[in-house]
Amino acid sequence: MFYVRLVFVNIRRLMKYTLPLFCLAVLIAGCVCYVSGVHRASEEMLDTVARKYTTVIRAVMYASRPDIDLGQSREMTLGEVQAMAKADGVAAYTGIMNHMCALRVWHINLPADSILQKDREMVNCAANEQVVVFAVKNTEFIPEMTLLAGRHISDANDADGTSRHVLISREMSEIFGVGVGDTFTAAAATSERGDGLFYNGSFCVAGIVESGFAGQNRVHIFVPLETALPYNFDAHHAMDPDTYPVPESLSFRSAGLVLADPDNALAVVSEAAEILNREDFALQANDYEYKKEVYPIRTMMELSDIIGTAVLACAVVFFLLITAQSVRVRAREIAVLRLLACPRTVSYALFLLEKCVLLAGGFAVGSVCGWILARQYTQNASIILGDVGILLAIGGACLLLTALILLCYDLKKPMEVLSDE
Amino acid sequence: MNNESALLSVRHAVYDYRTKAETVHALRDVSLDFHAGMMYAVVGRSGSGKSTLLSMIAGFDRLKAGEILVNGENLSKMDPETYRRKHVGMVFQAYHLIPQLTVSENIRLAMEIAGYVCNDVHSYVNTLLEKVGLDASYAKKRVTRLSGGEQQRVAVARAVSTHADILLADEPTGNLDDENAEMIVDLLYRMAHEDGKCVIMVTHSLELAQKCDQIYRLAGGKNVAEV
Repeated sequence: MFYVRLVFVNIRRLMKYTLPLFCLAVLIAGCVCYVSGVHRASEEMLDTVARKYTTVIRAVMYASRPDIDLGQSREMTLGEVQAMAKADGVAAYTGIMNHMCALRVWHINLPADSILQKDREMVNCAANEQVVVFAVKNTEFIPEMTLLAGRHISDANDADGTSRHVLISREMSEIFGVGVGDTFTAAAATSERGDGLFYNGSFCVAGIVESGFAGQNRVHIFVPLETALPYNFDAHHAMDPDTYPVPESLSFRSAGLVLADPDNALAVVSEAAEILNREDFALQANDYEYKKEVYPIRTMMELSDIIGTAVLACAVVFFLLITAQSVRVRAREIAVLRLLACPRTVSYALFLLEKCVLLAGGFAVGSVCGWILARQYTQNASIILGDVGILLAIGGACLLLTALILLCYDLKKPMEVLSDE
Repeated sequence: MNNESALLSVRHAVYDYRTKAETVHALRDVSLDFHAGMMYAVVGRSGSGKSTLLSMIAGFDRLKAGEILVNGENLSKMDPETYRRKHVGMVFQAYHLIPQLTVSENIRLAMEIAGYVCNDVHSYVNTLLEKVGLDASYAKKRVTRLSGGEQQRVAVARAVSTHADILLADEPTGNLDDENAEMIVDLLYRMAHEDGKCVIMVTHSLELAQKCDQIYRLAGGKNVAEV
């Protein structure tokens, strides 16, 4: 107990040396906690921005599309989304587009926005979210096909091919004298599908279209394929872009919103539509806005890292310099302890315990100060175990180096030290 | 006096050390006896080996040849720190008190190191202070606020606080005026005669040495005379 009391007595009475050490310990802990807090705050901000812009980018697409009903339809489970992602060999999807084309039914699963993917693992992001799929108001057609009569094949029955409803070209209607609602039988040779298969049997004409393709193939029957039929548009397009041009509708490569709060979807969409009312600028503007918001956060993180590391390094160096100086000045005290037959372990323990107390006290005060400062940026700032681990490592290193300094000063015989004095 | 009854016997002590230029023969076949209850003065010129002899007796270093017997036991076979804690109290010219501590704390530190247990430390410290001529009010004073003479008295109190039977004093009056020097020597003399300590004082002053029971004179590392 006497030795412990002695440590506190030394700390109190040798303020000239102990106060700077205490202040440096405060600075070290303050730096660690502050930088760590700023980091956490920045990550939170980046997360918020990422969420916001994920939403806004998607929302703007929809807000600017008159053909898309912003009414919320069914919710897809995360399992469904992940299954689709897995089937398509991509990491994750941020949205699901249930796009129906007159000729083919596509389930197009779209990769997450590339910019956002860099910042965030969308799988993790999606793990806490629900995917909301918006209903497409009218079936989207390839623009070359303009409906002249009847209707598009947009019902579920049409889409899966069971109703055997088809669209026919204007030319075909004229040549064969077939109108909307008429039934006709197609021979195998006349009903070749895009994928090389043939359809036989009777078909009911659901609508007549003016088709850009009709000029090349005047007798064209547009038959829906089964939903289950896998169709890799990109692969087909890559092989033969003339036959499989990119439909205009696919330039908007998303149909879902990733939202924490699906009920808020419409409000977000409206807000986004107000902010960015020009469709053609929407993506660019959002990308720009996103980067504009992210840049200062990233800069703040990098700056706080650099400054924090520099201050930390300086503080540790100064801590050791002052320790070395205090040990040098107190070399006489060490020698006297040795003269009094104080075991080395006890004399070292006294000095190290003194440093321990200073470091622990300084770290405690510094952590609280750092935490308070970090609270300016985030309400979630907390003194977490990671910070404690870093501080323990720094404190351990300081103590180890203090012991080495002590050892260096203790190499001389005590009588020699006292004679030098 | 009978050599066998000596508390401390130095037998044919030889000690040398090397400097860059030469080998210094600090002690050459020195043989001396020290008894409890007596005060000894070791005198001689600078470099005569007085302080080296004291260092050897204190167990700071080991002899190259010869032996030091403490109560008949060879010092070289004892743990020097344990020996110092149990048997030796030291007083130095520069006092060597720990400056940031109070008088009481300096004394208590020595007691703690020696493992000397005392039920009422406070009273014990006051008794010690009284013994060296300081009143109890000094106990809480920082040693840096005391005069040289007072500091040396505290050093003496610290040296005897552990009930060590050998009291080594290396030029204890070197930094003191004549009056204080005389008081300290008187104090050490009383320690020897009243408390039965074996006091060995290294000094340059023959006048102060005259107050001791016996004087050993060293020259060139040899004991040349016993007075």
